[in-house]
Amino acid sequence: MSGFTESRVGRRRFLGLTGAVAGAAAFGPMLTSCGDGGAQGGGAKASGELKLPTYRPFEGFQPDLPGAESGLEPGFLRFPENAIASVQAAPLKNSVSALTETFATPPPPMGSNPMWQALNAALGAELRLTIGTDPGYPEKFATLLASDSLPDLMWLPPNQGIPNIGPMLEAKFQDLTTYLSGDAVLEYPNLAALKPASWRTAVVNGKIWGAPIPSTPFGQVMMGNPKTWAKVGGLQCETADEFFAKCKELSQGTNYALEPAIINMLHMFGEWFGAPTGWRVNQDRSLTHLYETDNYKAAVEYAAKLWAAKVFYPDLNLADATPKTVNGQIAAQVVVGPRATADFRALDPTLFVDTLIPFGHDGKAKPIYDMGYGTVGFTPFKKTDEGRIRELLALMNYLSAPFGTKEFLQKNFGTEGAQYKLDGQKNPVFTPAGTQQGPGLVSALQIMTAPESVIFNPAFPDDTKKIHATEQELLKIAMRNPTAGTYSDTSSKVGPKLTAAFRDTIVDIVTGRQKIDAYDEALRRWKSGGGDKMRGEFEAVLPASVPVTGS
Amino acid sequence: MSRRPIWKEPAAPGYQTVKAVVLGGFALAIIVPIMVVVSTSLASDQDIIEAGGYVLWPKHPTLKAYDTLFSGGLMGRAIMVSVFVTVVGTAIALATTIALAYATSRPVLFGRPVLLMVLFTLLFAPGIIPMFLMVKQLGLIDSLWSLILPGALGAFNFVVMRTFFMNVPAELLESARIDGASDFTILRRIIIPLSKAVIAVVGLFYAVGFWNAFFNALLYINDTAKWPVQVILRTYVLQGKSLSADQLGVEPLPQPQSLQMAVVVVALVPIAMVYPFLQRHFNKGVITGAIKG
Amino acid sequence: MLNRLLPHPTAPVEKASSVRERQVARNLPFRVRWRRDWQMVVLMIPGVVFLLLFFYVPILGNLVAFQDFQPYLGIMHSEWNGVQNFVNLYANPDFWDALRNTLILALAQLVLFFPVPLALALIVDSLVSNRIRRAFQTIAYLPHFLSWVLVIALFQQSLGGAGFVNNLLRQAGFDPIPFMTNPDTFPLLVVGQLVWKDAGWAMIIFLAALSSVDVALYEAAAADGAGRWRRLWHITLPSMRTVIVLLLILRIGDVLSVGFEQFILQRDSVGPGAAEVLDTFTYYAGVVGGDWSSGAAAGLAKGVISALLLWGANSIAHRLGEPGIFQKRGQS
Repeated sequence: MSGFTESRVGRRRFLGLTGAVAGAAAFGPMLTSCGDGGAQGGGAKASGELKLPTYRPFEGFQPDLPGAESGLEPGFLRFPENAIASVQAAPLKNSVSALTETFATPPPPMGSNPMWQALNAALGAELRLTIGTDPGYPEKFATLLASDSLPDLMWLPPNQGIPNIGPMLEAKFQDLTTYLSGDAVLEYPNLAALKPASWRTAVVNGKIWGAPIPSTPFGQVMMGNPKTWAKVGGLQCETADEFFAKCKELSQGTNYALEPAIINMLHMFGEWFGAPTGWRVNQDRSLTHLYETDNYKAAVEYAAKLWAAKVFYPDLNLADATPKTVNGQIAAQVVVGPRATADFRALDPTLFVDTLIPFGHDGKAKPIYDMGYGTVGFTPFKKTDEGRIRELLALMNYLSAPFGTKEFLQKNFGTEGAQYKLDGQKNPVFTPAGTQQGPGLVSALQIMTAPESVIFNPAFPDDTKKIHATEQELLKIAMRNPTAGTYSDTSSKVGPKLTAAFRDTIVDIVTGRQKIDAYDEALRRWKSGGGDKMRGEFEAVLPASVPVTGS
Repeated sequence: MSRRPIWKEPAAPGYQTVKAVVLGGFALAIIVPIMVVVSTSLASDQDIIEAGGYVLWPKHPTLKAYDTLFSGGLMGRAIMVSVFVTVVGTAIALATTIALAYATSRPVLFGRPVLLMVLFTLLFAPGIIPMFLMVKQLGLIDSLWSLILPGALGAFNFVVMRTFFMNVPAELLESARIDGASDFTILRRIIIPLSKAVIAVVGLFYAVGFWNAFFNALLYINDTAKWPVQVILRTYVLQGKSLSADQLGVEPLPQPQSLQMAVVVVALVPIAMVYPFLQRHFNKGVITGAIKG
Repeated sequence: MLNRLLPHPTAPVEKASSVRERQVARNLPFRVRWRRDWQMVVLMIPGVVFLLLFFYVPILGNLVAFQDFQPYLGIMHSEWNGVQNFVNLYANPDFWDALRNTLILALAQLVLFFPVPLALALIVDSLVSNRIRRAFQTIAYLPHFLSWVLVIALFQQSLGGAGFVNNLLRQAGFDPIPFMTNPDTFPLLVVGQLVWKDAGWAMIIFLAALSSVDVALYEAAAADGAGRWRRLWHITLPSMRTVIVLLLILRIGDVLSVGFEQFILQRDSVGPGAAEVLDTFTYYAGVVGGDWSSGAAAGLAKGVISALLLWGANSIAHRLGEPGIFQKRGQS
């Protein structure tokens, strides 16, 4: 009977991924606490020797707003005219099977889905997707893995608790290092256009296992409905006390200030209190975990204070706060990345929500903005021969075609006149047929392959400008998880379990079911259960390039 | 008013009131929420926004949610799948259960070990991965049989059925045997005709089980065209958001609540339609000793 | 009850044993029994094949409880680690919390839920009007077909912190009552949801049993001047004893499976301290945490405890002269 499972767990956990559907994928902070990708055991050395694929950005189009190495996403005000081809020939001769997941409604099956068939025609052979759904993907992944009849490609999510990634990859999947490392990648120009930061998440044990799947590099942000916040002078605050007072004023009758996603809210408060992204790097290059910092503990106490003041929406079971934020019942909620404004536009086209820029809790301390994981993992290949590997790489190259190319259009919008048409500004929009055939398929494809992300809101070009500006604001105080791209055996094995147990306790504390004293006990269990071991493993492989963030 | 049996004296008013309050209260507690489900599925966007969620009575009823639901073709196919799985599954499960329950209801060769074999299944679950491996070994992945065969015998239903069979008077069977009837004949000519009621009840139990099952489909069925209604129910109800969020630029969809509730209604209607027919069997009193009493 | 009233055939077994209804079969040679029973054995085949394929062979998968199981290695290649998983389980306070919660919730269900359908069935059975009776049954069965997701959504909508009832309370100037989030009253909430969803449906079997009570007994009792309550106590309930005991035993054997979905959906609102049960523990350890072996070990522990409970309950029933689920025809 499992599998009724985590209706809510799933949603929360995939808060980021849901956005992937709209072409805006990102991961929450879930990942920041448990490393993925990287090296096991002697992997530190191996990682050092590995040459990441040469980065050669795609230069077909000039974005209206430039991107940057820092993670700033390029913005397009409208879809580039005269899409160009980035791939010379159809990549496939034989059909390919793949396991992926959709975060939209599952699409009509291949046999009755003209958009899918058109994609197959463009690819040269059938792309047979097995499309999992949330919840249920880890079960599906594990059962397929154990069944020994793997599909050619299997999307490997970094945050759904799939353990022991290192040995698993070695046992069942193809090492692609020789095909992708250094200049070898140039044979696949669209893969060469993926950034080194993205590639790092596809490296385990010093080897490359697949093409990474970039999403927005930005982490969670708090967004609020400006109409609601206007009553108290706006969403932006200078101090935590000011925020507290505003929340209290907004919580009246059946209206509440904050959505009841405690862990996510806590993540925001932690930023104001200067809690690090995942781990803090001390002067002596030792690591301190987020949970071990006084900053995070202070944030927990602050959250408990807010809870006691009854400013959280009282139903913890609320699956999706977006409609309530739109109609004003909830004033603010946590979403992934500044691009998430589109989710609110979808419900109310007149609404552009505000994004809260993190501030120091006392008006003086330096806030920290947590960048996200940057990708939704990678898609490894089943062990096979060179000819097949090249064919599969060509497929990944096709499906990773950058924004604005013909292949991008084919993958995301289908065929002009059938699944999409051009609106007044020459932007592609789905036709009714496309709406039916497209979203489920596009979501499934996006989750297993993607180009570097861009900001693009065809109906609201102004949004693109504002989001681009917000991103620059956030980047000023941004911090990345120092362990990103490295690998700890213990973290891979028990990390998810430890995190879940710790979170259970802090939710208890915030909601008043336990006293703050329980924090230290939970921390002790986290450390002895594997936290200390994890720290040691991460410290051993901490790249020299990671800056000190100690306070 | 039907005939009042002589041992049922007219009830005292006080007692009558208590009964009315208990049954009435219970019925209301059920009707109101279910009415909310149906109303919400029929409500317009405006109704839902005004009510802040679920609607008690739609002021501007519309079938938009149902239109959207069936426009994709997904729902129509899912209903066919669910009906097939339920009908065929119930038939197979009943046949297996009747045969096994009858055979173990008499002291026959192997009867006792087999009985223990069934009862043991009440205790453990085989686990997700081993079940998957078996289904795969049998070549049932992506086949509707993977939704049917693993549910072909329920221990509880078996116990109910067997207990009923045990209470068929022994002399009836004995005289049949003396007349030269084989066990097959006895099953066909005596046991089954005498057990229509319990077969109806157990059949309903099975049917409900098949209709409501979904987890097997998530694991064993990759082809979305073969998904049963319950999987769609979960997908829509749990993912109401992505439904609307990913279709930016297209005409606005109905509110997620009304879509979700429409799916619920669709999942509910077939059972609501079938069980009044089966319910006759409960009321007729023919169920004598469905569980012996 | 019925078979106790039946006359026991007394003719000696040796006479025409292949023809007469089976009584004492144990002493016969195999070949005689085979000739007599082969059709019965044939009838067992589909069921037995099913049990082997979909239960006994897969249940060997529970061996992973004695392994450090990794899906990518499979059962054949994963390392054996003896009882280590059980040792870990024993040392894990969360497991004991889950066990404690399971027992508390099971007890609450047994004591508070079990009598409700019986009481409803008695009331419904006493109704004279068939129309009202049928109408009530139709309504009462319906919630059984709703999924837990929906049931909990409906409870949330009416009793939740922002729900209908609490909004009324707030408007009236009272403090809202945390029906859905108070871990102390969680067992009551769970039972309430169970009653709403399944009490009506659970009536079916009691109603069936009630309809089989011998009408002549009522008539005789009424003629003797026995009132309503005496008839209930001396005729109705004793007539239903067997079915009540049978259902109780089944319930006890199933006691550790208090309901998976219901808890996983509410685990966040009341916290794992109150809502973590063995099934959710297994799920979180096994699937979410990726530790399949621990999950299997917890599942196995649960199975063993259930077996003991079932066996115990059945023995007690036997001792009290009830057939239980291992009813033996020859006995009564």
